[in-house]
Amino acid sequence: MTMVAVNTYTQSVTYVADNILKSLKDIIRLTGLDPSAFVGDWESSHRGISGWLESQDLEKVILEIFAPSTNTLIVRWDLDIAYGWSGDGGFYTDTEQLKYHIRKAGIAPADARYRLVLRHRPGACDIAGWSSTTLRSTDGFSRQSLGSTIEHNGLGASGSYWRKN
Amino acid sequence: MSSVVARCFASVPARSSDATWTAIVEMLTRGQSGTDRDELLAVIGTASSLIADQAPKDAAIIVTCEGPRTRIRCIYDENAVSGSGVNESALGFDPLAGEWAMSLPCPAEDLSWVQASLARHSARVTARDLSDTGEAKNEATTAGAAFEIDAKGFFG
Repeated sequence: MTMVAVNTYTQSVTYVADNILKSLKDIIRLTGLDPSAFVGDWESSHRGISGWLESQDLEKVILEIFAPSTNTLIVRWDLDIAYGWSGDGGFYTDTEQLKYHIRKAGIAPADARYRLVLRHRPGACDIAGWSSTTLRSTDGFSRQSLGSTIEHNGLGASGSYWRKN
Repeated sequence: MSSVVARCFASVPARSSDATWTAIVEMLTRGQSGTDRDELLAVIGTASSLIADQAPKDAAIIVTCEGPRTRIRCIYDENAVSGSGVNESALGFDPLAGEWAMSLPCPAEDLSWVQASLARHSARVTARDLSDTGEAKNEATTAGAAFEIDAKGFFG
């Protein structure tokens, strides 16, 4: 029997959305925090990321790690989405590069908390479970780029993180 | 030793990690609602993260019950899209009959928080290091049972 694999944009969305969530889970764990709350929202997070990837409205996936006592940022991880889908080409998730930079960014205090924020283009449709918010200030922080981190057939995400100067 | 039935589910990118878990639950519960289904769906977040980690690629999700044991693996990437090796056909028995239990394979570095997270939702669904096949303990138990003599019955 001959089987033919047909790559669709939806499959690329699935691959990228799943690996964004996996990468963020790894960031939380390697930062010394418990990923339980993050995976508890897995379905809702996947619905938001894949929904706005499908409509090509998702611009950035952000993980804020902050101090609850002062409500100020400790470190912030960004995944910028690139829409270069071509239907052919490779797919990869650069787990080792990500782990290297997570360790470089350092361990967060044990009482640190985190939240996932998605930034989409103006006019994007609403998705259940998601509402507007304001990001914590990055004043006094500098951004370190990781380059392309996740890709499937040209749909991808490039990682970076913000840490205090 | 009890018989073993194997199934392989297409996962990322053919379907998302949480959709993969939902499909597995659908097969195990045979589409029926109830407490078993509720308990399995209660751990969907943690199970989905393990599926996204590709933990069930080489190490099986193991379901034990009064009947045959069910071993479930997931297939990823090109094979998931082409369907090569996929077998999601319905089981000819109830894989959750009686006192069932499920063991999820888990990367060693995630084992601690995964076990704690699962325990908050279910006493039946647990995680093991994915390097542990989940068979050695049971095989030893079975072998031990094969040589066990019921002295009372024998001399009785």
